[in-house]
Amino acid sequence: MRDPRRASRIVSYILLAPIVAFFVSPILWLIVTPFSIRPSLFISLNGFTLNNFTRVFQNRTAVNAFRNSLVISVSVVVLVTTCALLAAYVLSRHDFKGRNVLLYMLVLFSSVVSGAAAMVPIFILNLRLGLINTELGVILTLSGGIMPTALFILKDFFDSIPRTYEEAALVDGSSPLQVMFRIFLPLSSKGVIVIAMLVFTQSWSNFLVPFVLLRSTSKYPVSVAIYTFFSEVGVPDIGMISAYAFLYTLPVIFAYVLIERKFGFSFYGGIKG
Amino acid sequence: MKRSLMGRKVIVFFLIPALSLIFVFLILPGVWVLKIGMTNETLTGAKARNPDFVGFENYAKVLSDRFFYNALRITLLFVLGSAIIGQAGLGLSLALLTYRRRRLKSFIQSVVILAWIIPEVVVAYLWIAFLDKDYGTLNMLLSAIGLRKINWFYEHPLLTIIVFNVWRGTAYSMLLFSAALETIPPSYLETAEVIGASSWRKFKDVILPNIRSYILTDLILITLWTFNVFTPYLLTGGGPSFRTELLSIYIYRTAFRYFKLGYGASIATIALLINFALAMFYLSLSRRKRT
Amino acid sequence: MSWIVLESVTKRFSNVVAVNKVNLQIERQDFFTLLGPSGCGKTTTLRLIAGLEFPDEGKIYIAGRDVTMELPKNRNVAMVFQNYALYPHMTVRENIAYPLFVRKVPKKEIERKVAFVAESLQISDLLERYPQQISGGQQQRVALARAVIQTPNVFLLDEPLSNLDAKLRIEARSFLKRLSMELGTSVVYVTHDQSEAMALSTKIAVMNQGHVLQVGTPRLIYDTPANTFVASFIGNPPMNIVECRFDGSTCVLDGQRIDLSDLPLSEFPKERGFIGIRPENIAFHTKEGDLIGEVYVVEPLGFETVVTVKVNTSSLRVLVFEDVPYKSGDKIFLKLRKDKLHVFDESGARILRRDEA
Ligand SMILES: Nc1ncnc2c1ncn2[C@@H]1O[C@H](COP(=O)(O)OP(=O)(O)OP(=O)(O)O)[C@@H](O)[C@H]1O
Ligand SMILES: [Mg+2]
Repeated sequence: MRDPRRASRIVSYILLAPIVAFFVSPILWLIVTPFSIRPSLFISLNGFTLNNFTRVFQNRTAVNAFRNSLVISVSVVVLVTTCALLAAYVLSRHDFKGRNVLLYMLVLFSSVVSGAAAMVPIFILNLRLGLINTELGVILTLSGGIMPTALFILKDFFDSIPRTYEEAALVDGSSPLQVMFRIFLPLSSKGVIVIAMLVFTQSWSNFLVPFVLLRSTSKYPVSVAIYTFFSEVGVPDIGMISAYAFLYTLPVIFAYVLIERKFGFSFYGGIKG
Repeated sequence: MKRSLMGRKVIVFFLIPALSLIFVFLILPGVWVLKIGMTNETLTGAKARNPDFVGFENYAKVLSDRFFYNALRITLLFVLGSAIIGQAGLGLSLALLTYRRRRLKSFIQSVVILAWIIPEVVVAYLWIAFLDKDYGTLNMLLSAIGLRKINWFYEHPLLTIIVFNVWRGTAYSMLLFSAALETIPPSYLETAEVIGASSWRKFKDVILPNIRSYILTDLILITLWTFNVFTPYLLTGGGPSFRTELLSIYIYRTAFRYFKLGYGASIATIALLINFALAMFYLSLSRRKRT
Repeated sequence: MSWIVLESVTKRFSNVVAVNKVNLQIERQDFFTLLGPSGCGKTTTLRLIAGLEFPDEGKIYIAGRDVTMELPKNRNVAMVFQNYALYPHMTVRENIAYPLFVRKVPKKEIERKVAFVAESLQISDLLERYPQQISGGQQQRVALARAVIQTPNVFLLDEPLSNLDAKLRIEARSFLKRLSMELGTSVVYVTHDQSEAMALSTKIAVMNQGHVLQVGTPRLIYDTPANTFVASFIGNPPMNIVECRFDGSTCVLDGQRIDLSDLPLSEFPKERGFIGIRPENIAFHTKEGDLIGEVYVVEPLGFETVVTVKVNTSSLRVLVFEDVPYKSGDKIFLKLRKDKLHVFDESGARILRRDEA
């Protein structure tokens, strides 16, 4: 018995194997090296240790940067999620003149004003506002950049929640604020949590904004700190850097696994970029 | 006699925080850059406080700036190689190879997505380690099978960042194309199978016409994103001797290394205009698809 | 002044006029039904009373107060939605308690009332479940409970039975009628099912394309429909309405003449018009009658039998309550009960009798 599909299957495995190897090998290093006794740039696990992690926690700059990253990301998450939530609620539930134009403009601007090119006017803006080398400047800049996408995804999500629940609550005697907090928020909590996590990963991972806006080492978030670790002259502490990068990456992976569990990646397609 | 269930006050209060943040930190800079581009503002020195208005002088300078042309050329090659050929091509191949094989697809997708979501600084260092001249995994493997070790960042800098960016960004294309393939009714392909069409014919006559609009969407979006990518700076810093200096890196160098903010802004304006054209193209396309 | 008043209320949605200059007076003891085909504006009218929509023109009064531009919470109304709208994140108990909870009723009293209402609606066993965990019929009862627990000025019900299967619907209908008698205030009820409207209502308003065509008791609407639309919408099988030519007081139907001079009508249509007669007001006769026709089809429905008779090109339905010996193709005479026969003018409006005001 010969199944004609088997041949094509085997061909596809032969094609896929090197591609998988291509994608996996750089990442393998990140998984192996932090636990290695003699860490090097080559992927090799010669004995298991947690020593590299201990050195991360002994490094003042590294610990400090972790705290900075946490402050920045949590602030951005709170700010963006709250603002986007309120605005998306209005945009989804209230049809006013110019709403679609507004949404269109938001998408347009958020995709145009991005990257290093946008950092030039953003830098000058922060300069004029006295926000250069402040965490507040980084927080506000990141928030402004992520807001339109968060707003858009949330609005789409809210549109999918039937209005009857809110209407029933209104007739039952709730005030508009009670409708928002007792009915609407509990119903949309899943989408809000996903947005919060997306915003978190975006601000947690961002390199360019703090890199351009921050001057003093003590204010660096992890992204910039890691860059200075491996780009500064001298022999970099590979074990420490890999352990640090490992710890820095974990929350991101964790967040995406959670998002994937809840929604699948199709939902997430819109935000990256 | 228009009245809303929410009340005007609620509407305004709810919209203001988000919109003002977007306005100040996104729209304002996007418009302001036009003006800054016409000044000779610098970060320090005499022109920091009182920049002169120089009109289109900067743009005249840009047009005869060989670094600008160099950056433009490299960006073009980078977009063409890493996005249009690399990400879209590899993404489509992966989508086809895993079509209707759920376990395989979810495995390949998780691997590819992992490369996409790891923070860019970490990714950059992973590749620096991977490609290291003496101890990098790739060169160790090459020498193990008796080949010469290659100093990737010096011998093939552009190719290196192109391959890197394919690795980094293929996920989006693969996800999009996989979703696109799902929209083709299986009966189409089964019909072709019954007729006895070859794989190539099936691809050309059944699959391609059905996912054409997705391909266009994908190409525009990844072009837009790749055009703005800054991550290669973390790998090469734009070198050696400007051979990987993308437009984004050149803007960064001009504005934030040499502190020529006015001149940097004029180059940034050009980049943002290109973004604008791509975004308009994309939006008009997705609008047409919806109606 | 009536308990609820709609004064020439108009509501537009971009290009459709969903509710067009509607006037309604609803008394406190009314079970008032808005009846009409899909899309005629019933739900919109109900939502206007609830305060979920605001009219473009006109005024709305509830309990003597102008509430035209008031938010729902200031109108003291209770509503049951077509899909019940039970809050999915709350248990049945929390759902029922919600209207009292937001009105800051003391906890003790809420508990007492929930227990009482749940008892009377026979859902006491379900209180700790979530809406997704109970059946459609049970959901409907919970939705009713959430309305009944309040002491509103008016109960608004939007097709509360339409999501139930046929058998359950009849049961729930009786239950609803019984319940409505104990509510002690007006009920405004929306349905597109005329039998439901007939069975439940004290008053019916028939709507079409945003207009209210007629308001009255079920009997009145059944016996003296204002126009051909109302006439054909009410009753099952519906009233026979055939177009004919008038020659003075004689109606000419495809060459057959019916003498209507006995009818005390204020006038007769000039040329064209319609006559209407309900299926149960036509009788068969073997030798003589007003019309002669041919049996087209016989549908025995158990208790009653519907016979469709072709009179030249028109067809008439006849409802009889005994077995009929006829079969398709038989020639037969029809006798019309003249006192139950309606005449409509060319526009479809019913021509009044002289004794009607
Ligand atoms: N929010 C809205 N936006 C636009 N048009 C609407 C809206 N609500 C209702 N309409 C339109 O107004 C008209 C009346 O609608 P309504 O829902 O009141 O009808 P209905 O009598 O309740 O019908 P059904 O029996 O199908 O529920 C319809 O033509 C409908 O399309
Ligand atoms: Mg309706």
